[in-house]
Amino acid sequence: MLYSYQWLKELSGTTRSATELTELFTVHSFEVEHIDDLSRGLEKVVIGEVLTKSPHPNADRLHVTTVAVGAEKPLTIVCGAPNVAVGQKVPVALVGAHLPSGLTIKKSVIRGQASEGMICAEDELSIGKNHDGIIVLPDDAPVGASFAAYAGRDDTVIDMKILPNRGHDCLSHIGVANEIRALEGKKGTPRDGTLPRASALFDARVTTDRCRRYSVVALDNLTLAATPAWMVNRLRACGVHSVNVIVDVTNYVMLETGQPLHAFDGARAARIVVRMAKPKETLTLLDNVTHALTPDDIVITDGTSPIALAGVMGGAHSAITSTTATVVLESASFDASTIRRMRRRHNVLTDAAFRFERDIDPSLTVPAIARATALLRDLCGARVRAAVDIDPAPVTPWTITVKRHAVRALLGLTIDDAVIVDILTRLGMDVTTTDDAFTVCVPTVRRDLTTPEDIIEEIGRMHGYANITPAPLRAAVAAPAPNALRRYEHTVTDVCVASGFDEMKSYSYYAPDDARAIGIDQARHISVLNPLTPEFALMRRSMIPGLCAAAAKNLRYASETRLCDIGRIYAPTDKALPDEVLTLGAAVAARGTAGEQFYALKGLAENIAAHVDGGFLYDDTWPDHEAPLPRLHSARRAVIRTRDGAMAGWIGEVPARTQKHYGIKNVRVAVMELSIATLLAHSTETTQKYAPLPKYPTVERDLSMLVPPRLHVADLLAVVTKSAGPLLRNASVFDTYHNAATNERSVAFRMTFAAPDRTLTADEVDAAVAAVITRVEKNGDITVRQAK
Amino acid sequence: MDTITTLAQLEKDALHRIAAARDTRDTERLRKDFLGKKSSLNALLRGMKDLSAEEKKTVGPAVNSLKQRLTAALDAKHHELEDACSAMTEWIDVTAPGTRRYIGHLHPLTIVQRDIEEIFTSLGFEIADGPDIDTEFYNFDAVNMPDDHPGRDMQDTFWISQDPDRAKGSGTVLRTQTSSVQVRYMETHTPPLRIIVPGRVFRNEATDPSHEHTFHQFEALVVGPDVSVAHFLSIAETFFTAFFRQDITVRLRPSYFPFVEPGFEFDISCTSCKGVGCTVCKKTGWLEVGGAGMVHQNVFTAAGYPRNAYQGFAWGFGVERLAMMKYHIDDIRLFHSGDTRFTAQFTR
Repeated sequence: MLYSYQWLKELSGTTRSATELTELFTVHSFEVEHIDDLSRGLEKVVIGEVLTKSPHPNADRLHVTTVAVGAEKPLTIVCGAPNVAVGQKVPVALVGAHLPSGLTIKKSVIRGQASEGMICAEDELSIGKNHDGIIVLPDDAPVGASFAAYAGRDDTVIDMKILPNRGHDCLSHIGVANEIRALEGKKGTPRDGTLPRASALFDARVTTDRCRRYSVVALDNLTLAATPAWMVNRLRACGVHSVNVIVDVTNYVMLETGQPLHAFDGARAARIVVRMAKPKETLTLLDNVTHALTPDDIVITDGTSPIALAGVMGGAHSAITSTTATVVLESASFDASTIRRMRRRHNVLTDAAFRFERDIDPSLTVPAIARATALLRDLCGARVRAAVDIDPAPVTPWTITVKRHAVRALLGLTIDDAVIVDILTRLGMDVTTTDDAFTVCVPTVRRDLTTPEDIIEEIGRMHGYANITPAPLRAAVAAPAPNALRRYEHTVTDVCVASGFDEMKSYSYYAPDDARAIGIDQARHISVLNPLTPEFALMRRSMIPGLCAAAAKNLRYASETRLCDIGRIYAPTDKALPDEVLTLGAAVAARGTAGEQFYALKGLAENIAAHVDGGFLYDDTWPDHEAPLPRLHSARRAVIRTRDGAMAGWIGEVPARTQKHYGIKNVRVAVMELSIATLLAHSTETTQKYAPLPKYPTVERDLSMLVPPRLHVADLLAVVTKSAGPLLRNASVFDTYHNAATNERSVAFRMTFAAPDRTLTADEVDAAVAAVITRVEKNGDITVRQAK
Repeated sequence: MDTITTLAQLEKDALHRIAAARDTRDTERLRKDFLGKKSSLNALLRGMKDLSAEEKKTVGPAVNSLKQRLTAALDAKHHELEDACSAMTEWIDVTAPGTRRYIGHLHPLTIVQRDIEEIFTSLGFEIADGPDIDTEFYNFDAVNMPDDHPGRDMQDTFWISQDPDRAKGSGTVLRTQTSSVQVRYMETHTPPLRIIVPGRVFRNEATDPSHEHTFHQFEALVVGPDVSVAHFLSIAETFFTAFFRQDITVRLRPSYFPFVEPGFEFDISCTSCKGVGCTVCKKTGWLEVGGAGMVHQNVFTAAGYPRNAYQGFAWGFGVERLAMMKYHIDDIRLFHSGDTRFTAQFTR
């Protein structure tokens, strides 16, 4: 909310500057977002009177004027404005002025004629856009006086973020002025007032308990005078435009007291009934939009039809117009939650609704209506015809008991009782001290204060949190419970990075188009009801879209890219909440058509497999029934399983059409996903054990064989391993080659032999190798080419 | 000339010639000349048998010691010449790039998150997790933000399910704050407790250089019989001092979060100017970091704790904000850009 510094100063009696108040608020009360000195740039602008005017000897369009500015000698000023005339009162920028528009005024010579200042147009003073001519002030403007003061710009706007819990009392100048008084050691000014005396009762009825209080005054004999400048200036400082004197008064009183008021044209509100709206009722508001009402809307009616959406906005039909002669002034209090729903439903946020939904004190209605009535009497000659105050459940101050030790225990602060009592008293509370507690009577305007902790907060902030000395926490020395999943996640990420993959983070949601592109049915996703854009409508079921989009981006700068992204994917369940599966997604995008990307990515999988007990198995039967798997290249994909058959993830090449969707050209992309929790369940962290180093030399033998083109080399390796006998320590594939021309495929194995108790003889190893050869050649489809 | 004098002359001559050697072939030839079978030194040794016992006692050791000295001189010269030679023929450009296998980069948020996790773990905090998609109960109601609470307005929410006729608190949302984990954790744990909750949170708001709809928060929660604001200040200063590796002071300002009372915004002394005032802190000497406060008793009761049995503090801040402060990053959107030109700038 915007506050006028001058207004706050008047109400609080402070001598602090706006900047000093800002510092005080920041540490004790609220965040000041911005302060804006309205007179900035106008310091050297004064009111002058044009004494003489003559044509410029050397320029047709310029005039030479002499202008009295309250100094001994009039100033000679060259002026180009067509409207300048003798006798005018004008704003004059003196030499040395730095105007808000950025212009600096210097003594100068214009076409041979000395000039000692400038007569200003609106735009030069940043008070308007007009540059057609100079500003001509009223004849009674005092020559020599500050223009800023005259124009009501000798004020500073303080923009403060009032916290939601202080909306009850501080969305008003009185509230903030009382805060200042409390901070400066003085008691606040209570918001008092009595209902204006009237000879008649106004005919008003309230039929819903969601209207907590309804005060109304009917005024007649109004003359719609111009709103006085001081009021217009204060409204403007607070960002409120002047409309007419009646509306201006209601706004002014709201800004002053925090209580929203509404003025109906008396001719349209002979009587008032406050009730809930009926189905199918409609109401055209001041913004000329017609709203369909619901039974959850509180309406002000004239006994028949709605004339205002209570607490939100008045109706167009009952608005104040230039012909208004009588006014019905409403000062009411409504249920905060209802107002909140109403303004949301109707999508109208007004200053009134903003305050009502912050649950303001029903006790404010009468002081506010009294203040407004007094102002309208003074400004428009209004007479009170009738009044009524409907207050079915009067609010009275309540008490809170705060244990003495609780203050110190919660704040960790040593503070004297006298200081506590003084703080609370300044805040308008009545404090009774007992042996072990303070009993505090809270003024009704502080609806935020309901618990002992609320009171302790008031003590803490007013005393100053800077007075609290940090104290080390005393606790038992204990190792925190480990977070195994997170630890394993870190391990996997580290393996990715060490394997040359750059970690990235993609959003948790993607577009229906992404789901289509990767071939996972949209229906198998969780949807966001109100996505920021349709691009973010589905909770991700796969890391592929994020990886592909990032790969496409990075391929603009690099010929290949390796990415990993560890995050959660979201799987619908029949429970309240979905499964969130922490998943490693990884991608390799590079040139090549022979599966290079697949094998590069599988290299990462194998590095990760070092942390998985028993490693991984790669299974190219694609179990669509087991999980919603993404669409991958049907000849280049595998499910990744742990030794016990659990599905840990999958790996495969992204098909051409998916690549195309992401705009990836000239390279191919392989992608992989692994469930971190599944890997953790098979972690080697607790299973790994030392194996004694071999004491006797190992013997290596290589075996190269011609195999059928589509044989799974892993199967053959298993055969080799099984048939080599007990001396085999390890067997691995170290080369595979496919000759496309002959469609011949060769595979080379390296076998390592050793015995725990002796050096092997060549004969023993030869026999083991011979056994392998016999076994692999048994079926006739494999030929051993070379053994060495 | 006696033998000793001969030896001295021999040594002088030999050292002179060794010094003059120009390459390793010279040193090998000299080695043969001075120490080989046909060398005069060897001849002297051979002639020892003709010497008197008295002479043998002095000449023998003298010859051996000269042999050692010459060997040492030859070795030194040989190595010197060998080094000079390889320096000539085997020069490589040590400034040319090394052979390297590309190592990837951790995302800067991961780096910062691990730093945070390590500091808190060393202070005895457990790392807890909670779901990204949670019920409105845990995200709002349990942390003292019942339906229609103005506090809900501060956080624009993505809804997953929001049936108007739903049971109270049963709608599901993308969590707007890691505070959603407070009650989840407390339901199954008894104080004293110290946890941190790092996690992804979501806000339905438009993005710009300082706002993201997806970001990461860190929640810290400490609950015990007598945990106070003073303890919070101490833990916060300890953490930030460790994180920024410089002395940091914490300033509290009054603020409001429904799940705490009292509630604070907390600032840290500016890491660029140490509190003097500079452009980074807009001349205030302070940097705004996050929100904190003393856990509201309503939160404890939502977790099933008896009212007024415990005190605790909770605080939260954005991991992105910390990363931006640490690395002087000026656009929060870079974190989710997937651009490796960004992430490759950081190492742990």
